[in-house]
Amino acid sequence: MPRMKFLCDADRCIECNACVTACKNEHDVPWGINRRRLVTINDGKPGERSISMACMHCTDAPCAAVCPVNCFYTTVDGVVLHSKDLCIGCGYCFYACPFGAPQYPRLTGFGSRGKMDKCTFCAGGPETDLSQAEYAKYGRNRLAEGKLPLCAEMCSTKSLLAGDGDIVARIYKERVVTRGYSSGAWGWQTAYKEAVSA
Amino acid sequence: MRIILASIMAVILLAVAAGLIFASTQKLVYEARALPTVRIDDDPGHNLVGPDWSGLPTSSAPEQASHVTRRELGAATPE
Amino acid sequence: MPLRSKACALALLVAIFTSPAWAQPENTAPNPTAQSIPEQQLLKERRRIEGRVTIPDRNARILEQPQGRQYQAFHEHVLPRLAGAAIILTLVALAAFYARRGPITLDRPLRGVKITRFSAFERFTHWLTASSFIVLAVTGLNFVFGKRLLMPLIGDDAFSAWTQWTKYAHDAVAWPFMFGLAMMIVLWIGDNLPDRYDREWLKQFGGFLSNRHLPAGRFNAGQKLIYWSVVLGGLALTASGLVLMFPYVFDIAGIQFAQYVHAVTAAILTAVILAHIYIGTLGMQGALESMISGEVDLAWAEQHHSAWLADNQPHPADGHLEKRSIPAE
Repeated sequence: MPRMKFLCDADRCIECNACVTACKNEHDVPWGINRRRLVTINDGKPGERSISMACMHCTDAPCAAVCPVNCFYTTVDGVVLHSKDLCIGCGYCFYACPFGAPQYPRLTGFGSRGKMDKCTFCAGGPETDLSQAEYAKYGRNRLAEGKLPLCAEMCSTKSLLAGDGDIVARIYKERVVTRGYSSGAWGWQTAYKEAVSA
Repeated sequence: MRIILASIMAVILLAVAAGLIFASTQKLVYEARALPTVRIDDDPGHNLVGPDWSGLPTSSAPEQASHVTRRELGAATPE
Repeated sequence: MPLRSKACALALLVAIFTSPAWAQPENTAPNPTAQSIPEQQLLKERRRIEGRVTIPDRNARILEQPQGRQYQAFHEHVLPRLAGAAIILTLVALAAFYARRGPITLDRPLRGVKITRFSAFERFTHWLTASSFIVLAVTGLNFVFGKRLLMPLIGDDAFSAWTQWTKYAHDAVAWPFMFGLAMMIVLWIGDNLPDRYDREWLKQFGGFLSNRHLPAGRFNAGQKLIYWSVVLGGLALTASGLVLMFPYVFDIAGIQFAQYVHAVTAAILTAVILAHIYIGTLGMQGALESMISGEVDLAWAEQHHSAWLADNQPHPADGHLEKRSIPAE
């Protein structure tokens, strides 16, 4: 059974934002909600590094654990999804997420922050697969069509990899051996409690 | 006993008032994080190259050319 | 021709395939990001990794904050056990005390003359704060225990709708609680400062177990402990609660810290208030009446707050007596 993971090759990412654009376009993500974003460390200085970050679909997902209404669930593929019908917009998942993935339509915690939205690994949500209701709430369900997440498909340098964790790790390791350098799989230790040994 | 009922009434009134006041000041993220370069409410199509951006070929080609000419001359594009 | 050309061909092939141009160029590519800092080092130095983003939102700058895992551990393991233990142990201790000692009753006959102990405004403030606290405690406990205890009973959708409303209630009722707390500080801080009777009262545990009667001012040392728990705990809850209510004023570490303070203080204060509710209802005869009608019998005042009574000697009147206002000890 494949266990889906993301891996952003931080040595290849050029901050082109194709992944961000692809995700926003494919899922009709409104302005202000950032399912995927590019973070640049040491911008403009020697040693600048960019990494594309969205939900990592963690093992033992912290967001799922702290939710007071248990609106999260993990599919058999390891994709962490949630139900916007049960979500109460309390914001705990944002406090727990090591990567800042949860996004909310309203500011301030007073009342409600609205239904939480986040990267779904292009796997939709609890609504019926490929239905209009699912698209309206969670965006496109590419996994149900047998496709992989669009951000990784659109990556211009193939630095963002998405798919079965074993295959993704193997591709990354081959790259590292061939080119001779690697900064590691960013976020893997925190998300999946394992490092990609290369 | 009346004091207790009065205090419960006060709790309800204060809570409802606080709720209404703060709910009215809560901002939607697409308004709060909007930038001057982002147009949220506009209908698509009239903040781009011209009034007709459907991508379909228009019937009058000279009109398109005149659009191009007007832009090249630096005239203001109609909003 | 054949053998020599074959040998030449073979030699040529050997030359080609062993030449340096054909060798696998392993590990010779220059590393374009050699000067950048590795992930683990960044985490060790800064505790979290932040960068620059093109999004006009400070929270989006965070790349990785592993403290989220600690928050998960606190929220799912430490907090339920702490809150559960605090409440259950308190209830068990109170039940045991009641079983052994029973309620504290009047040991002398009623005098039939009453003295005013709490004014109308004081009682209003108390019940305002008390009813707010009960709503806040119940809704707060729902955030911790609801999905474990209530959700299996009423189902996902009903529980989600209920929790949605408890969230609104918690945020809204916090404001009357803060208001009531401020009133309590103004009204009673003077009477809750330490006085000369407190040390003895504490040493003998209020006479609870020995059945002795100790002199006390308007509030005895036990009541003062309750007061200061409420005031200090309430202020901590107010500060941390406001941070949580307007979270984007602070960064993620500030919000997590506020949650730790808020949850731990709430758990402990709830246990303390359970003991307060016990003593005010079951635990002591005449206590509840003092906060409902505001008046107590002289005999009750003699037994429990003799020093307060001595400073508020009743005027001869028609049975209802006003407390003379005198400075607190």
